[in-house]
Amino acid sequence: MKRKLPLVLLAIIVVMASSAGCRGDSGTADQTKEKIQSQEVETEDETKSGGAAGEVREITVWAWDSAFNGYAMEEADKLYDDAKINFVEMSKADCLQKLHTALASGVTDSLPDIVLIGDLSAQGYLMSYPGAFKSMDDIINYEDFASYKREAVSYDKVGYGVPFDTGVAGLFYRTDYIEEAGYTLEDMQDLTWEEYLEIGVKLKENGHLLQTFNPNDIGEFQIMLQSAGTWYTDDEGLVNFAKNAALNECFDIFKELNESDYCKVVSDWGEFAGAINSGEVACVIRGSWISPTIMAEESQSGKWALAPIPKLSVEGATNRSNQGGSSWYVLNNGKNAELAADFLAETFAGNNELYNILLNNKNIIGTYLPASNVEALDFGHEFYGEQKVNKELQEWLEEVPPVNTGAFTSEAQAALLAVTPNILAGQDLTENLKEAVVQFEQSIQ
Amino acid sequence: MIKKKRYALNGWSMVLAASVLVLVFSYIPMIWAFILSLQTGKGANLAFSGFANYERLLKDTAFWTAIGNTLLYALIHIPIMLIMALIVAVLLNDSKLKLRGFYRTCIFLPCVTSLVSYSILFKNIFGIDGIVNQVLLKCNAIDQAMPFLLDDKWAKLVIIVALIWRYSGYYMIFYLSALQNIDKSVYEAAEVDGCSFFQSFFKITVPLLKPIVYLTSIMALNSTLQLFDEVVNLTNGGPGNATRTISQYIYDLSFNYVPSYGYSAAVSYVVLVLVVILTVIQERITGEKNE
Repeated sequence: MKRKLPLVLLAIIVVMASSAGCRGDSGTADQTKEKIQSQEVETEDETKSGGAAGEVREITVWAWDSAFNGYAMEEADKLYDDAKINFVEMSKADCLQKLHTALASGVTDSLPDIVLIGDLSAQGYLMSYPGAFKSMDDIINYEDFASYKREAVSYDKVGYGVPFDTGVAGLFYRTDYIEEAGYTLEDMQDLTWEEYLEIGVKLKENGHLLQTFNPNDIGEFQIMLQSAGTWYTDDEGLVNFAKNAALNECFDIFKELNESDYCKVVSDWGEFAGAINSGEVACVIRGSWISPTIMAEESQSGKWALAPIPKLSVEGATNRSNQGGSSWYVLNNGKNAELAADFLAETFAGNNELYNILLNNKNIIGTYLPASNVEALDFGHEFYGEQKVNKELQEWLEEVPPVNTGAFTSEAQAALLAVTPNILAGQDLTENLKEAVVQFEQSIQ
Repeated sequence: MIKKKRYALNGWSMVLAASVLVLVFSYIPMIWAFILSLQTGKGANLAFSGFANYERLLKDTAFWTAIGNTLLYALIHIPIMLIMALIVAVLLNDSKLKLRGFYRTCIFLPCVTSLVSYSILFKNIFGIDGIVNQVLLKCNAIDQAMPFLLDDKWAKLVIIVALIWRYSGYYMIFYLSALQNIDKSVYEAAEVDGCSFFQSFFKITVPLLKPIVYLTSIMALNSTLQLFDEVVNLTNGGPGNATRTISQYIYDLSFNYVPSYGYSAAVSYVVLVLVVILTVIQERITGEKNE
């Protein structure tokens, strides 16, 4: 009896200690595996109602890529005196996942004040967590931003996000390979996809390849669809596969690339970047964010140029499109929601000088229209043969067809990817698209 | 009678702390997950709707493909891996072998590597410009680089090879320690009676190891049914849905698509049911022969 008492006491203490330590956890009822590898810095405990005058409050920001987004926040911080930015970096997937977990659990202490969300994922968050994000309609002027961005950051006619960077798409190409194949700079402007694919044949004759091709990645469809003013879903959010002429053409082009001998087959990002940097491929059609990857190979400086993307042959097709891009969102339940909103309004939604600095130093192109005349745009890039790429991209982004990308892009791409191997193997396109429709509607229930 | 009660009380007081922790962190979340699986709705807009989620998964082609893939991985990689582990364990059990400790360490080492690192390594090895393709091209076995990870059958094979490479060492350790519990006199008696190596392996070693084989096969099954890291890092679900596993599908449902937490809880309950069914089957197979 005497020996048992200390044991029982020990057991009780252990249980109390471990449950006290776990009380701060934001548990979820999910049974999913969490791959959270963030380097989270503890945020200081700030009171919601303003502190004493002169006390600098802290705004916590969750985002990825400290060299790009982190730098932007750093520069914005310098222009704003009432608060200090605490930038918490994590990978893009972790950022999305952590936000879902924090919002789904309902525990508000772990939420940041501002979070960066990719435009394609934004609608999903706005739909799933009503009331979690602060509406910015009364705080910033949405007319100041490119029209295609305004659609992406709104839900149910209310604006929530502050548009940030653009993914305006361009055709980056190797001038030396293209000239060797007998094309001039003028020829590369305003191509159609047919003409573009013909370039591939000529390039092959000279021992070069046209572009990379990953049969398991239909990300390029985003560029092609938006260039024709359409998307996987229509304005009401209903599926738009079967009668979508642009999507049909996308698959035809995809098939042609698959059967051609002038593409470099790759299976992931590493091989994709490798093919560009090693000089195997002549062209890259992506959003403007691909520029740092291309410029990583300094020995190719002066050999690249930028042209508008090719045009589809359907009605309403243009040479302008967008791929990706993200925006800042303020969380209603973060510790400093009003302060964060004010910060964004003064910097990203109100300060031309900020965009000038970002452009000058890091080639970050925003979508804030009043800043479309800043001086940094006149800079001729040595890597691109003195071409004023930023100026051209800025002009193009104002012409990108606005499209309602809806909340279900991931589901749509997954449904299409499931039937893509069949289509590439030669099966009937219409039948497979019908099956993709069934799968898609199943997955958005 | 009082002594019995004292023993029982003693026992309970020792496991009380652990029991409470298991209850709070394992059982209560399991019940909660079941309640979640009875709700539908996107994100935080959840509402009770009976067994709608379970009806939905019966018609979900992506779900059935994921189950098929996962079971295929289990079916192929577990027997090969366990047999390899057994053979290696028997070989390493030989007391006359030099550098046994070194071999043991080398074979066990893959197990402690980071899941993500080794998956990325295998992706590089089997990539289009990877070593395997380069070797095959040099030997003229193929005339064009094979896109292993982009073909639905080869991608599955690569994943199975990666799994076997990693986990054989882990189960080898189990078998090694079980083998060391077998009395040497049994083998000596067999040698005196004139048994060959194969006879003593099949007639003595394997029957004596039955309980440990049962344990390792349950463990292997459990971890294969929850396969996630390798698949995501190697093929991300593969061409189309060809290599997608259940865990990856649950992850997609919760984080990549607009989240349907209720539905993903229902899918994870199916994993639970599968594990229970397969465990019962295994128990019948190995248990019946055990008197």
